[in-house]
Amino acid sequence: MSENILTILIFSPLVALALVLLLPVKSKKAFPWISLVITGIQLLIACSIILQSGDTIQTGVNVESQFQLIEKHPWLQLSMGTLGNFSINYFVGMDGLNSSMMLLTSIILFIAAISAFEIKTKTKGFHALFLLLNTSINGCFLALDFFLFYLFFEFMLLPMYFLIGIWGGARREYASIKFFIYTLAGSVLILIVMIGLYTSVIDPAATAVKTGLAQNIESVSDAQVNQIQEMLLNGTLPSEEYVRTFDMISMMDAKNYIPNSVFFKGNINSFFGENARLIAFLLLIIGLAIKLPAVPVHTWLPDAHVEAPTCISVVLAGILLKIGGYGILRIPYSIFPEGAIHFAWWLGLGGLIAIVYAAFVALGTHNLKKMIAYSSISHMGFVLLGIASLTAEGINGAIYQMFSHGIISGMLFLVAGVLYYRTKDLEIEHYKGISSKMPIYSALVTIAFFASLGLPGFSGFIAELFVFLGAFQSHEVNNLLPAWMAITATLGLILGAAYYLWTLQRMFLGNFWSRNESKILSDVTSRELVMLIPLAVISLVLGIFPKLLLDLFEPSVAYFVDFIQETGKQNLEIIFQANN
Amino acid sequence: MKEQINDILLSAGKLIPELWLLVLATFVLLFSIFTQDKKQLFNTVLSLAGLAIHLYLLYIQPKETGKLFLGNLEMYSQTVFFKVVFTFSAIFSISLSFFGKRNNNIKSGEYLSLLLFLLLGLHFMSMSANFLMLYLSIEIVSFSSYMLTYFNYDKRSVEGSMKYLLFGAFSTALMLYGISLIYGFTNSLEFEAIGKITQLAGTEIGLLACGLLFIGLLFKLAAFPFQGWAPDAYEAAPTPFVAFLSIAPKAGAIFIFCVLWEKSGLSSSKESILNYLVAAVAMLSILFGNLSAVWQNSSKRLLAYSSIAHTGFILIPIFGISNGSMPSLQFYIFIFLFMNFAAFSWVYFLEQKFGSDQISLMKGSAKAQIFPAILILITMISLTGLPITAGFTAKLLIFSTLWQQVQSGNSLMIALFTVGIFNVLIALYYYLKMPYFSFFKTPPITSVPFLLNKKQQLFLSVMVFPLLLFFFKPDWLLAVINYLN
Repeated sequence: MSENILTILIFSPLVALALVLLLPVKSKKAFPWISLVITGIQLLIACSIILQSGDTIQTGVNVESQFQLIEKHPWLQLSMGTLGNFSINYFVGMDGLNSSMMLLTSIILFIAAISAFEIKTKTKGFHALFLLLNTSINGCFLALDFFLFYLFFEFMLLPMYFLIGIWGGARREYASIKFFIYTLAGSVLILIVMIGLYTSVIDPAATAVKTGLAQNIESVSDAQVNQIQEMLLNGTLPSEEYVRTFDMISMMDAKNYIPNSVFFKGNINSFFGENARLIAFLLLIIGLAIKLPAVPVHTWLPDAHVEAPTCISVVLAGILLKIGGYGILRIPYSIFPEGAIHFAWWLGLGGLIAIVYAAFVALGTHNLKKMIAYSSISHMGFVLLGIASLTAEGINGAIYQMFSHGIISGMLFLVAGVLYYRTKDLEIEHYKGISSKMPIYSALVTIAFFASLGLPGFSGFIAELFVFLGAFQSHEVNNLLPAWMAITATLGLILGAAYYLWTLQRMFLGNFWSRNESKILSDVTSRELVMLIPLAVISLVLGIFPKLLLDLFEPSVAYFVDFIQETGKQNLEIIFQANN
Repeated sequence: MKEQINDILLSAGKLIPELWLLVLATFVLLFSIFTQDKKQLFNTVLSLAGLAIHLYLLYIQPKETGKLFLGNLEMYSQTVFFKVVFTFSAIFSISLSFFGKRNNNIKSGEYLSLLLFLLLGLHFMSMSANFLMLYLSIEIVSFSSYMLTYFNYDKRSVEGSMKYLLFGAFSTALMLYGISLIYGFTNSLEFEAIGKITQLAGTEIGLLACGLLFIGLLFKLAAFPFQGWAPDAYEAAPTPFVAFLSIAPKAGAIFIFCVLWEKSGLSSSKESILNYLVAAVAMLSILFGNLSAVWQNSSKRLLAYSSIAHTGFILIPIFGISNGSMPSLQFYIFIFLFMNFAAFSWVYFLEQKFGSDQISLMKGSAKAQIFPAILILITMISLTGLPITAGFTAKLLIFSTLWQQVQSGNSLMIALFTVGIFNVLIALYYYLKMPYFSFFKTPPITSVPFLLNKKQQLFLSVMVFPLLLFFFKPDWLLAVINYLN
């Protein structure tokens, strides 16, 4: 396999983008095909990466050598006088935490590219933005340098803003700016921590080169790294020699923190009476929770979903939300593990509230897409609950839920899109007995609904089962989440069944009636089947053979949980000692 | 005596670029008088060529720091950089006037020579080492600005320039009062005196003197609460000059502010009240500028308020000035130069087309012509401070310099940091207004579409290109800055 395979995966859409820009506006037919072909190639690449690595997906997390397909090239070396030097690397790699997300991204983008054939206006612009979005999503999942992650994370907003704002529904302008400002607020919080982190952390290898201990980065040995870290702790390393870094792996090692910098773990300085590291954890969590989204910062999501065109809804629900969940594992948990323990109860509560509250709201909505949007929030609550439990089961469940929800929500928005494409109306009360007019469609909707409400045999069941196992065990294993949280969360399942079944009954069963009688309700076309069937099959297969997916991340998660528990506890002790 | 004459003669040799500028400005003025201002094109080209030579002279000038003219002037290590920034803005501003109508006021010899004299004033401002020199150069800059603001010769510009003049006179009076206090107590007009005033006159008087002095500079910077003149003056003045006004005098003022700040020794005492005041001014400028900009429908006023907000940002590096935050400031100024000119030139093109600068006139312009719309989108993203533009890098560097103060737990600095960083959200809302009208709205069927010709597109591209380039290669710009320092 080529060494630069991840770079190819991330940046191949840009090549296609160049092609899109070169073609004249008139060649309308070509644009969707370009997107389709390039996402198809990406899907093949992603599958081949997963297949070839097979059982050997490495644990990764905080050990650089345990990542796969690493590419690390110096990008920027800035020397800012007495502010010191800092280095930004182009650093991508794959481990158990992001391999499944990479696969999910490719699948969903491919499906979305098929769905994008429905876009008939300004196709050139649409596909140009779609390809830009594609690059930034892939980049975001694979980046291991904080700057790079932030770059992709924030750059994603711009194409999304235009995709919703230009091709969306009636209230698209409001929805798109709301989406932009909400998510930007999140990324500003992340930016604050990023500035704090890079001024606190050095890259020992690069510093070794700078001090002249080693010739170049490749030749730096572990002993030299240790030597630098010791010098740093003793204060014998002059500050002009510091090479500050955005490298996330370096940030996960407490030895790389400059003594008495803000995020140095023995630092007793506090902000507003809290330890700086714990505050940083909170800021990151809030920033990413907006993306997830968690209650009460979720309100952008229903608006964005209702207004976005179908294929963008699919991308939004299928992948973008997962960046929140994945980001929580990769950044705040890995870099500030003590926060994971300290705030576990609150995170669990946040998850619980999202599960129950969003399910209640979904029960009361009148718009099919809005209902699906709220069900998404509810399901992402399970991710937060699973992560908060900090048990192997819980986090496995969370990642499984992210994947499964990606597939299922993609399906749900597609079925909503099928109806919308025909009638431009998604009010639940405006239909009755659709099944008599569109039998195949109704069957697919039923499958999607049942998969989403967690029927055994579908992937959602496995995911939620794992999350519940984790959440229940938590009070025995690590005493982080009380049992009542897990018990109350089951309410989400019951409510889920309620709103899905009720909608099914209201819209699809009984005698046919529709408020817009003039519109012809024809059954699904073969193109729509091509999108829906594979997703249904994936959900079914993963519901029956969970091992297929679990194998990708189980070893990583096991290692991750141990790492967080261990370092988290140590750091918490240091913090509380310092405070006393 | 002989030594003094020698010093003056030697110093004069180091002022060749300025002397050249003086010759150029005088010649442009005389030429236009003798040709009765009929050869405007020649005059404009001549000014541009002269400025190009001026840049070259700055480039070949040996880089020496030290005092000139018996301590009246000083070559600071950043002086050359700021002179380059001034000259660049003058070149861009004059080039923009090419896109105006024929026989425009802003191609007249009067206008050009005033602009060149203003430029000369800025050069002396960036070299001043003595309060008298500073005062004189600020007045050269100010008086030229008052007159240039009036160059549209209409009712609005009378109001704008009058307001500017009155505010300006008031603020320089305050500044003069501050200077006289310093002179009275220290018996010296050199900048070093500011470091001694608190010892000699006591803390209260010292703070009063410094505060009054800084007010003059804050006025030039259009920082809150000394911003009152800016939106009206900007609205009234010819747009190419507004673009110049929004960057060059600010760069000069902030540079001298930094020099004085460092010499006053105020930066060393973190708890000093002036620290708090300047932090508050920066914070309020950002807030006031951004919040006011949200309500604007005129693109020029919107940019005027945006530049007030940016003043707040360029005040931030002051707090780290003794910790090496100067390169960050220079980076910001340089990027600000390009993004501001990109934005103002777009506004100028709009004015030329429709005779008005209402943002709503941009409706659907992306549909008619996508390329310029993308350029303006990049500019606005850069002004907001988002990747992938150098505006992001500039803000990142600025906030990194502030982080050291934040680290020490100083609550006002934390507030400034938070306010600054969260203002991106407000800024995003109004900066997206122009792209919003351009991309999201459909043009009314009756109106002419807003099209740019090739030359205008080229000019915009030249302004926007550095915004992308220096995001991916900020080290190049920093290398240039280090070279010039």
